[in-house]
Amino acid sequence: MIQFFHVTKRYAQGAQALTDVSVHVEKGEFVFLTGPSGAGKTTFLKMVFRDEVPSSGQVVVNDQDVATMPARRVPYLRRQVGVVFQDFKLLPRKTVFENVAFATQVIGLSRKEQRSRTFQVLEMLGLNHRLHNYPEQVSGGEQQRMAIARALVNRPLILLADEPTGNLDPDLAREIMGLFRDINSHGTTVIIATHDRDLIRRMGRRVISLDQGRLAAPGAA
Amino acid sequence: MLRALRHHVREAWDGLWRNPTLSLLSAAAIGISLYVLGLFLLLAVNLNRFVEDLGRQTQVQVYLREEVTPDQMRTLRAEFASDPAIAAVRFITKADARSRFQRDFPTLRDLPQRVGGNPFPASFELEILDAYREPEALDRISKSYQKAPGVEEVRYDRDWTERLTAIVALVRRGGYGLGALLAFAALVTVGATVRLTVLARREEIEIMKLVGATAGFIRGPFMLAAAAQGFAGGVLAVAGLLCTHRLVERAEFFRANPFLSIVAGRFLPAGASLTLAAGGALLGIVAALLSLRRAGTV
Repeated sequence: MIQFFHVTKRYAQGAQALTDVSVHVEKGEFVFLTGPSGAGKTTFLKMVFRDEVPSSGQVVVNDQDVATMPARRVPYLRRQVGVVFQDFKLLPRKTVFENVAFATQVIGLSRKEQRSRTFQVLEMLGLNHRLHNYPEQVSGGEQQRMAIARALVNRPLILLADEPTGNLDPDLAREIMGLFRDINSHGTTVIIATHDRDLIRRMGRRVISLDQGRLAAPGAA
Repeated sequence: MLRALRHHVREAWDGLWRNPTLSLLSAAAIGISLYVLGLFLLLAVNLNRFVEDLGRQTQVQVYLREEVTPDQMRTLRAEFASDPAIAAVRFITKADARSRFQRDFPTLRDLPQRVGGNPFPASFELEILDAYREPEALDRISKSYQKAPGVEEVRYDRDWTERLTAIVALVRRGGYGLGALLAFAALVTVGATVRLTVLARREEIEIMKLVGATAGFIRGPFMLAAAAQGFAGGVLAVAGLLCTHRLVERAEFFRANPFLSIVAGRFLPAGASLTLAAGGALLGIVAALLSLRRAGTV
């Protein structure tokens, strides 16, 4: 599903975020991406949805080479990849419902389909009592769930989450992880970037470890 | 498609009302540039019509010598009658010429008396058939009578017509030039408005891109809003032109002046008015496109 072939990423300022990274993630896999801050986890994720392109090497997502993909195809790649951002990226002027429905509107679903999918995913994430609240009126955990709901609402093939439990208390973190496991059990490939070692141990899934942009422990943990 | 259009319309409408002052400013900028362009067009259209009318009235004047004899006049009449280029002949006596001068230039009424007697020559006015109105044909007619006995001079108003045609072309070019300059200013204004809106919605646009919105979906509302502003500007310009035209038509000052009365003649044809309004919309779209490209956000 996701293949990195000798991927190196150098930024304009000279910093090297990834160095010769080669890794494969199978369809339906649940993978943790770990490493200390600045290890290149976020850059790795950004390459999957083509927010960054490699300086050298090749990134293939669902049989598409993302670096050489024409710009007009990028939106269609992104519709296959749901992303939960570390800073949530919620729109403060939109309600919980609107923030999530927004993603369905963008891909041109019918009004009816937009509403039905949004209600469904918000119910699944336990946010159906918060529909008309604005992001600032809900807790950090609920904002996190809003971000997950928006990533899931378009039923992506791949779900990426960048430090999704970073701002949550342990109980809530466990709850969110349980949710990712459920999503994965329905066939969605899940990659979670985190430096929470306890969480990784408890989940017992494959780990891709990065250190200063290099693959530290490829393969299964 | 229809769904996307509905979204664009809704978002464009919201965008327009989010900052009404800016929206109004954009529409006004386009309106002013099109108004100026339209004013020149109005001038050119009416001058053109005037020149065409003049062309239709093309006449050749054959001025006679003081000492012209009745025989010479008879010969001339016979020649005019057999000339295929001449549609009609009118004889203007010396007295007629004087009265015509006094009618056309009332302030100089007493000039003939002051110079003593009647200085105006008698003449034949030859009305030329349409097919013979080209400069070459007129030259031929003019030359063929120039040397005839009893003829002092032959004149026709081709130079005048040509000069006026050149003036019309100049007016039109001036209008296009000034219009283009103002259109550029309008582009900058509308472009700045679009850029400000894009900046205000940067976060939203960023998220739209991340969740898979196409460039067209993101740009659509901006383009539609700019087109609406442009169209409103165009309609304002046509309304302004109509008001100006009416004002000129009714004001005594303009009507009394023979040159300005030409300008007040006729309003722009419906097609030109519609083109102005549509041009406003086009100007808005171009401004939005350029601005969105420059902003690089979308």
